[in-house]
Amino acid sequence: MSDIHSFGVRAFGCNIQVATGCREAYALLDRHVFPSLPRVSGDAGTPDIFIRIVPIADQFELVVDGVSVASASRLIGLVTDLIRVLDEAVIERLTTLRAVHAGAVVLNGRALLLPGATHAGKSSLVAELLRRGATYFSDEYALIDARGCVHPYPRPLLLRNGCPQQFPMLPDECNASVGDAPAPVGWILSLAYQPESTWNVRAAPQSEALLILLRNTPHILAESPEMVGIFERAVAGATCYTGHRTEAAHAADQILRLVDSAA
Amino acid sequence: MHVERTNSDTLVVNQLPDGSRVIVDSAKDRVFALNATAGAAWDACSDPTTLAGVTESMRRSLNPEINEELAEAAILQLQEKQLVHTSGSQATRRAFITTLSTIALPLVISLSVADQRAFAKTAKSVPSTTPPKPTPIPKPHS
Repeated sequence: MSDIHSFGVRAFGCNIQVATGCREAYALLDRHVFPSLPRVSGDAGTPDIFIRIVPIADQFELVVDGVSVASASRLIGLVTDLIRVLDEAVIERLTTLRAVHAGAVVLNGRALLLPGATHAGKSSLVAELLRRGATYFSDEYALIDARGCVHPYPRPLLLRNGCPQQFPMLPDECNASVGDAPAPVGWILSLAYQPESTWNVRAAPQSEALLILLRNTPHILAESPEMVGIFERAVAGATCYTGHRTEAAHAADQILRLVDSAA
Repeated sequence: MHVERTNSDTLVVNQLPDGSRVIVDSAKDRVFALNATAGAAWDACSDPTTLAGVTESMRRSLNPEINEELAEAAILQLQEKQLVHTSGSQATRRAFITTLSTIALPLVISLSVADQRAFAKTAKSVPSTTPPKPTPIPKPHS
Protein backbone atom coordinates (compact mmCIF):
# COMPACT_ATOMS: atom_id res chain seq x y z
CA MET A 1 0.00 0.00 0.00
CA SER A 2 1.47 3.37 -0.93
CA ASP A 3 1.71 6.22 1.58
CA ILE A 4 -1.03 8.58 0.52
CA HIS A 5 -1.43 10.32 3.89
CA SER A 6 1.54 12.25 5.29
CA PHE A 7 2.62 15.32 7.21
CA GLY A 8 5.75 16.79 8.73
CA VAL A 9 6.46 18.29 12.14
CA ARG A 10 9.42 20.43 13.16
CA ALA A 11 10.00 19.70 16.85
CA PHE A 12 12.92 21.34 18.66
CA GLY A 13 15.18 21.22 15.62
CA CYS A 14 14.15 17.70 14.64
CA ASN A 15 12.47 17.37 11.24
CA ILE A 16 9.90 14.57 11.57
CA GLN A 17 8.07 13.10 8.61
CA VAL A 18 5.21 10.62 9.00
CA ALA A 19 3.30 8.74 6.34
CA THR A 20 0.89 5.88 5.95
CA GLY A 21 -1.47 4.44 3.42
CA CYS A 22 -4.15 3.78 6.02
CA ARG A 23 -6.66 6.44 7.01
CA GLU A 24 -7.04 5.12 10.55
CA ALA A 25 -3.27 5.02 11.01
CA TYR A 26 -3.05 8.61 9.79
CA ALA A 27 -5.59 9.69 12.39
CA LEU A 28 -3.54 7.95 15.07
CA LEU A 29 -0.32 9.61 13.91
CA ASP A 30 -1.98 13.02 13.78
CA ARG A 31 -3.32 12.55 17.30
CA HIS A 32 -0.07 11.37 18.89
CA VAL A 33 2.85 13.01 17.05
CA PHE A 34 3.25 16.25 19.04
CA PRO A 35 -0.43 17.08 18.46
CA SER A 36 -0.11 20.71 19.54
CA LEU A 37 2.70 21.51 17.10
CA PRO A 38 1.86 22.80 13.61
CA ARG A 39 1.85 20.36 10.71
CA VAL A 40 3.88 20.93 7.58
CA SER A 41 2.35 19.46 4.47
CA GLY A 42 4.21 18.52 1.34
CA ASP A 43 7.96 18.30 0.97
CA ALA A 44 9.59 19.78 4.07
CA GLY A 45 13.11 18.82 3.11
CA THR A 46 15.09 15.78 4.18
CA PRO A 47 13.59 14.40 7.38
CA ASP A 48 15.75 13.54 10.38
CA ILE A 49 13.36 10.70 11.05
CA PHE A 50 10.81 9.10 8.75
CA ILE A 51 8.02 7.20 10.47
CA ARG A 52 5.49 5.00 8.72
CA ILE A 53 2.71 2.72 9.81
CA VAL A 54 2.34 -0.18 7.44
CA PRO A 55 -0.49 -2.75 7.52
CA ILE A 56 0.99 -6.19 6.90
CA ALA A 57 -1.36 -9.18 6.99
CA ASP A 58 -3.33 -8.86 10.24
CA GLN A 59 -0.74 -6.62 11.90
CA PHE A 60 0.30 -2.99 11.85
CA GLU A 61 4.00 -2.28 11.79
CA LEU A 62 5.76 0.85 13.00
CA VAL A 63 8.58 1.48 10.58
CA VAL A 64 11.31 4.01 11.38
CA ASP A 65 13.76 4.97 8.67
CA GLY A 66 12.94 1.80 6.81
CA VAL A 67 13.27 -0.55 9.77
CA SER A 68 10.33 -2.17 11.52
CA VAL A 69 10.63 -1.40 15.24
CA ALA A 70 7.29 -2.65 16.57
CA SER A 71 4.15 -4.44 15.53
CA ALA A 72 0.68 -4.79 16.98
CA SER A 73 -2.63 -6.26 16.05
CA ARG A 74 -4.37 -2.98 16.90
CA LEU A 75 -3.15 0.47 15.98
CA ILE A 76 -3.37 1.78 19.53
CA GLY A 77 -0.79 -0.85 20.48
CA LEU A 78 1.86 1.09 18.55
CA VAL A 79 1.41 4.39 20.36
CA THR A 80 3.87 3.90 23.23
CA ASP A 81 6.58 2.81 20.82
CA LEU A 82 5.77 5.70 18.51
CA ILE A 83 6.13 8.19 21.34
CA ARG A 84 9.40 6.68 22.54
CA VAL A 85 10.82 6.73 19.03
CA LEU A 86 9.95 10.42 18.79
CA ASP A 87 11.48 11.08 22.23
CA GLU A 88 14.76 9.52 21.24
CA ALA A 89 14.87 11.30 17.89
CA VAL A 90 14.22 14.72 19.41
CA ILE A 91 16.37 14.42 22.52
CA GLU A 92 19.47 13.22 20.73
CA ARG A 93 19.23 16.13 18.29
CA LEU A 94 18.91 18.90 20.84
CA THR A 95 21.59 21.52 20.35
CA THR A 96 20.96 24.44 22.68
CA LEU A 97 18.20 23.06 24.89
CA ARG A 98 19.08 20.55 27.62
CA ALA A 99 16.58 17.87 28.64
CA VAL A 100 15.84 16.75 32.16
CA HIS A 101 13.90 13.54 32.74
CA ALA A 102 11.06 15.20 34.60
CA GLY A 103 7.39 15.88 34.59
CA ALA A 104 6.69 19.57 34.06
CA VAL A 105 3.61 21.71 34.52
CA VAL A 106 3.05 25.43 34.87
CA LEU A 107 1.35 27.05 37.84
CA ASN A 108 0.88 30.81 38.02
CA GLY A 109 3.32 31.37 35.18
CA ARG A 110 6.15 29.34 36.67
CA ALA A 111 7.24 25.81 35.90
CA LEU A 112 7.07 23.03 38.46
CA LEU A 113 9.52 20.21 37.75
CA LEU A 114 9.18 16.66 39.00
CA PRO A 115 12.47 14.97 38.14
CA GLY A 116 12.47 11.21 38.44
CA ALA A 117 13.35 7.93 36.88
CA THR A 118 11.09 5.79 34.76
CA HIS A 119 8.39 4.14 36.91
CA ALA A 120 8.66 7.01 39.43
CA GLY A 121 5.09 7.97 38.65
CA LYS A 122 5.81 11.29 36.96
CA SER A 123 2.99 10.94 34.45
CA SER A 124 0.35 10.07 37.05
CA LEU A 125 1.38 13.03 39.15
CA VAL A 126 1.38 15.35 36.16
CA ALA A 127 -2.12 14.13 35.20
CA GLU A 128 -3.42 14.86 38.70
CA LEU A 129 -1.91 18.34 38.61
CA LEU A 130 -3.55 18.96 35.21
CA ARG A 131 -6.91 17.94 36.68
CA ARG A 132 -6.32 20.62 39.31
CA GLY A 133 -5.74 23.41 36.81
CA ALA A 134 -2.06 23.21 35.91
CA THR A 135 -0.89 23.87 32.35
CA TYR A 136 0.79 20.95 30.63
CA PHE A 137 4.45 21.06 29.61
CA SER A 138 5.48 17.40 29.66
CA ASP A 139 5.19 14.11 31.50
CA GLU A 140 8.68 13.03 30.45
CA TYR A 141 11.16 15.78 29.62
CA ALA A 142 11.66 19.34 30.76
CA LEU A 143 13.63 21.19 28.10
CA ILE A 144 15.79 23.92 29.61
CA ASP A 145 17.29 26.77 27.62
CA ALA A 146 20.45 28.78 28.23
CA ARG A 147 18.55 31.26 30.41
CA GLY A 148 17.32 28.46 32.63
CA CYS A 149 13.73 28.63 31.37
CA VAL A 150 11.68 25.52 30.65
CA HIS A 151 10.10 24.90 27.26
CA PRO A 152 7.00 22.75 26.76
CA TYR A 153 7.66 19.29 25.36
CA PRO A 154 4.05 18.51 24.50
CA ARG A 155 4.01 14.79 23.83
CA PRO A 156 0.89 12.83 24.84
CA LEU A 157 1.02 11.60 28.42
CA LEU A 158 1.73 7.91 28.88
CA LEU A 159 -0.09 6.59 31.93
CA ARG A 160 0.16 3.22 33.62
CA ASN A 161 -2.58 3.48 36.23
CA GLY A 162 -1.16 0.44 37.99
CA CYS A 163 -0.85 -1.64 34.81
CA PRO A 164 2.42 -2.74 33.22
CA GLN A 165 1.26 -1.35 29.90
CA GLN A 166 1.06 2.35 29.25
CA PHE A 167 -1.78 4.07 27.48
CA PRO A 168 -1.79 7.53 25.94
CA MET A 169 -3.79 10.47 27.15
CA LEU A 170 -3.97 14.00 25.83
CA PRO A 171 -3.99 16.99 28.19
CA ASP A 172 -7.44 18.08 27.03
CA GLU A 173 -8.82 14.85 28.47
CA CYS A 174 -7.95 16.45 31.83
CA ASN A 175 -9.43 19.75 30.66
CA ALA A 176 -5.91 21.14 30.67
CA SER A 177 -4.24 23.46 28.21
CA VAL A 178 -0.79 22.97 26.74
CA GLY A 179 1.89 25.57 27.36
CA ASP A 180 3.10 27.45 24.32
CA ALA A 181 5.90 29.59 25.75
CA PRO A 182 8.92 29.03 28.00
CA ALA A 183 8.55 29.62 31.73
CA PRO A 184 11.04 30.20 34.55
CA VAL A 185 11.39 27.40 37.07
CA GLY A 186 9.41 28.09 40.22
CA TRP A 187 9.63 24.76 42.00
CA ILE A 188 11.63 21.55 41.84
CA LEU A 189 10.28 18.54 43.73
CA SER A 190 12.28 15.34 43.79
CA LEU A 191 9.75 12.86 45.15
CA ALA A 192 10.15 9.12 45.57
CA TYR A 193 6.90 7.19 45.46
CA GLN A 194 6.43 4.97 48.49
CA PRO A 195 2.94 3.39 48.60
CA GLU A 196 2.93 2.73 52.32
CA SER A 197 4.56 5.98 53.40
CA THR A 198 3.15 9.34 54.31
CA TRP A 199 3.83 12.65 52.59
CA ASN A 200 7.25 13.67 53.88
CA VAL A 201 9.31 16.36 52.17
CA ARG A 202 12.04 18.73 53.27
CA ALA A 203 13.26 21.94 51.74
CA ALA A 204 16.41 21.40 49.70
CA PRO A 205 19.08 23.93 48.84
CA GLN A 206 19.20 25.07 45.23
CA SER A 207 22.64 23.51 44.84
CA GLU A 208 21.22 20.10 45.79
CA ALA A 209 18.46 20.61 43.23
CA LEU A 210 21.13 21.27 40.63
CA LEU A 211 22.70 17.88 41.38
CA ILE A 212 19.25 16.31 41.08
CA LEU A 213 18.90 17.82 37.60
CA LEU A 214 22.35 16.51 36.66
CA ARG A 215 21.32 13.02 37.82
CA ASN A 216 18.21 13.15 35.67
CA THR A 217 19.48 14.49 32.39
CA PRO A 218 20.20 12.20 29.44
CA HIS A 219 23.08 14.49 28.44
CA ILE A 220 26.59 13.66 29.57
CA LEU A 221 28.22 16.35 31.66
CA ALA A 222 31.70 15.57 30.34
CA GLU A 223 30.44 16.36 26.83
CA SER A 224 28.26 19.31 27.85
CA PRO A 225 30.07 21.10 30.70
CA GLU A 226 27.95 24.18 30.09
CA MET A 227 25.06 22.26 31.64
CA VAL A 228 26.17 23.30 35.12
CA GLY A 229 25.67 26.97 34.25
CA ILE A 230 22.36 26.28 32.50
CA PHE A 231 21.04 24.34 35.49
CA GLU A 232 22.36 26.98 37.90
CA ARG A 233 20.18 29.52 36.13
CA ALA A 234 17.25 27.09 36.19
CA VAL A 235 17.41 26.49 39.95
CA ALA A 236 18.27 30.10 40.84
CA GLY A 237 14.61 31.14 41.04
CA ALA A 238 13.26 27.86 42.33
CA THR A 239 12.04 26.65 45.68
CA CYS A 240 13.22 23.08 46.02
CA TYR A 241 12.06 20.05 47.97
CA THR A 242 12.99 16.41 48.23
CA GLY A 243 11.29 13.52 49.97
CA HIS A 244 8.63 10.84 49.73
CA ARG A 245 5.17 11.01 48.33
CA THR A 246 2.03 8.94 48.51
CA GLU A 247 -0.59 8.23 45.85
CA ALA A 248 -0.67 10.71 42.97
CA ALA A 249 -4.00 12.36 43.84
CA HIS A 250 -3.00 12.94 47.45
CA ALA A 251 0.48 14.08 46.44
CA ALA A 252 -0.97 16.56 43.94
CA ASP A 253 -3.04 18.15 46.71
CA GLN A 254 0.02 18.36 48.93
CA ILE A 255 2.10 19.89 46.13
CA LEU A 256 -0.48 22.61 45.53
CA ARG A 257 -0.53 23.39 49.25
CA LEU A 258 3.26 23.60 49.20
CA VAL A 259 3.23 25.89 46.20
CA ASP A 260 0.61 28.14 47.81
CA SER A 261 2.57 28.31 51.06
CA ALA A 262 5.76 29.23 49.22
CA ALA A 263 4.03 31.95 47.19
CA MET B 1 42.21 22.43 64.84
CA HIS B 2 43.80 24.08 61.81
CA VAL B 3 41.78 24.15 58.65
CA GLU B 4 42.96 24.72 55.13
CA ARG B 5 41.42 24.28 51.73
CA THR B 6 42.89 21.58 49.57
CA ASN B 7 44.30 22.70 46.25
CA SER B 8 41.62 25.02 44.95
CA ASP B 9 43.22 26.06 41.68
CA THR B 10 40.90 23.77 39.75
CA LEU B 11 37.72 24.73 41.54
CA VAL B 12 34.98 26.92 40.11
CA VAL B 13 32.67 28.14 42.86
CA ASN B 14 29.28 29.75 42.35
CA GLN B 15 26.90 31.01 45.00
CA LEU B 16 23.19 30.59 44.34
CA PRO B 17 20.49 33.02 45.54
CA ASP B 18 19.61 30.87 48.57
CA GLY B 19 23.22 31.03 49.77
CA SER B 20 24.06 27.48 48.75
CA ARG B 21 27.18 26.85 46.65
CA VAL B 22 28.02 24.79 43.61
CA ILE B 23 31.67 23.82 43.29
CA VAL B 24 32.98 22.22 40.12
CA ASP B 25 36.31 20.47 40.52
CA SER B 26 37.64 19.95 37.01
CA ALA B 27 40.69 18.06 38.25
CA LYS B 28 38.73 15.49 40.20
CA ASP B 29 35.77 15.51 37.80
CA ARG B 30 33.28 16.12 40.55
CA VAL B 31 30.47 18.59 41.27
CA PHE B 32 29.73 19.53 44.88
CA ALA B 33 26.61 21.04 46.38
CA LEU B 34 26.93 22.87 49.69
CA ASN B 35 23.98 24.29 51.54
CA ALA B 36 24.25 27.81 52.95
CA THR B 37 25.69 26.63 56.27
CA ALA B 38 28.42 24.53 54.66
CA GLY B 39 28.96 27.34 52.14
CA ALA B 40 29.63 29.81 54.94
CA ALA B 41 32.18 27.39 56.42
CA TRP B 42 33.79 27.05 52.98
CA ASP B 43 34.06 30.82 52.68
CA ALA B 44 35.61 30.96 56.14
CA CYS B 45 38.46 28.77 54.88
CA SER B 46 39.54 31.09 52.08
CA ASP B 47 42.77 31.48 54.04
CA PRO B 48 44.25 28.90 56.44
CA THR B 49 42.43 29.26 59.73
CA THR B 50 41.33 27.54 62.90
CA LEU B 51 38.02 26.12 64.06
CA ALA B 52 37.55 29.23 66.20
CA GLY B 53 38.26 31.35 63.13
CA VAL B 54 35.73 29.43 61.07
CA THR B 55 33.13 29.78 63.81
CA GLU B 56 33.68 33.50 64.09
CA SER B 57 33.53 33.99 60.34
CA MET B 58 30.30 31.99 60.11
CA ARG B 59 28.81 34.07 62.90
CA ARG B 60 29.57 37.22 60.95
CA SER B 61 28.47 35.98 57.55
CA LEU B 62 25.55 33.69 58.37
CA ASN B 63 24.16 33.91 61.87
CA PRO B 64 25.50 35.24 65.19
CA GLU B 65 24.15 32.13 66.92
CA ILE B 66 26.49 29.75 65.09
CA ASN B 67 28.36 27.65 67.63
CA GLU B 68 31.58 25.69 67.40
CA GLU B 69 29.79 22.34 67.14
CA LEU B 70 27.97 23.44 64.03
CA ALA B 71 31.11 24.92 62.50
CA GLU B 72 32.99 21.70 63.25
CA ALA B 73 30.24 19.61 61.67
CA ALA B 74 30.51 21.71 58.53
CA ILE B 75 34.30 21.41 58.43
CA LEU B 76 34.08 17.64 58.88
CA GLN B 77 31.71 17.37 55.94
CA LEU B 78 34.01 19.48 53.80
CA GLN B 79 36.90 17.29 54.94
CA GLU B 80 35.02 14.10 54.05
CA LYS B 81 34.65 15.44 50.53
CA GLN B 82 38.34 16.43 50.49
CA LEU B 83 37.55 20.07 50.00
CA VAL B 84 39.53 21.00 53.14
CA HIS B 85 42.06 19.23 55.29
CA THR B 86 42.55 19.67 58.98
CA SER B 87 45.52 19.26 61.29
CA GLY B 88 46.27 19.69 64.95
CA SER B 89 43.87 18.31 67.50
CA GLN B 90 41.82 15.56 65.89
CA ALA B 91 38.38 16.67 65.01
CA THR B 92 35.68 14.24 65.96
CA ARG B 93 32.05 14.46 65.10
CA ARG B 94 30.19 15.21 68.26
CA ALA B 95 27.27 13.04 69.09
CA PHE B 96 24.78 15.84 69.27
CA ILE B 97 24.82 19.17 67.59
CA THR B 98 22.94 21.88 69.35
CA THR B 99 20.27 22.59 66.82
CA LEU B 100 19.36 26.16 66.19
CA SER B 101 15.97 26.52 64.65
CA THR B 102 17.01 29.25 62.26
CA ILE B 103 20.12 27.53 60.93
CA ALA B 104 20.15 24.46 58.71
CA LEU B 105 22.57 21.69 59.56
CA PRO B 106 25.50 21.67 57.17
CA LEU B 107 25.08 19.56 54.06
CA VAL B 108 27.72 18.70 51.47
CA ILE B 109 26.89 16.26 48.68
CA SER B 110 28.64 15.51 45.43
CA LEU B 111 28.32 13.81 42.09
CA SER B 112 31.23 12.49 40.06
CA VAL B 113 31.33 12.98 36.33
CA ALA B 114 31.54 9.18 35.95
CA ASP B 115 28.40 8.65 38.03
CA GLN B 116 26.65 11.40 36.08
CA ARG B 117 27.48 9.58 32.85
CA ALA B 118 25.91 6.41 34.27
CA PHE B 119 22.78 8.31 35.32
CA ALA B 120 22.55 9.88 31.85
CA LYS B 121 22.21 6.47 30.26
CA THR B 122 19.11 5.73 32.30
CA ALA B 123 17.53 9.20 32.28
CA LYS B 124 15.37 8.57 29.26
CA SER B 125 12.22 6.86 28.12
CA VAL B 126 12.39 3.13 28.70
CA PRO B 127 13.10 1.05 25.61
CA SER B 128 10.31 -0.48 23.66
CA THR B 129 8.62 -3.50 25.23
CA THR B 130 7.60 -4.73 21.81
CA PRO B 131 10.25 -7.05 20.41
CA PRO B 132 11.93 -5.17 17.58
CA LYS B 133 11.87 -6.79 14.20
CA PRO B 134 14.90 -5.54 12.31
CA THR B 135 13.40 -6.38 8.98
CA PRO B 136 14.31 -3.72 6.43
CA ILE B 137 11.30 -2.41 4.66
CA PRO B 138 12.02 -0.42 1.52
CA LYS B 139 10.86 3.16 1.47
CA PRO B 140 8.22 3.83 -1.15
CA HIS B 141 9.30 5.48 -4.33
CA SER B 142 8.49 9.15 -4.22
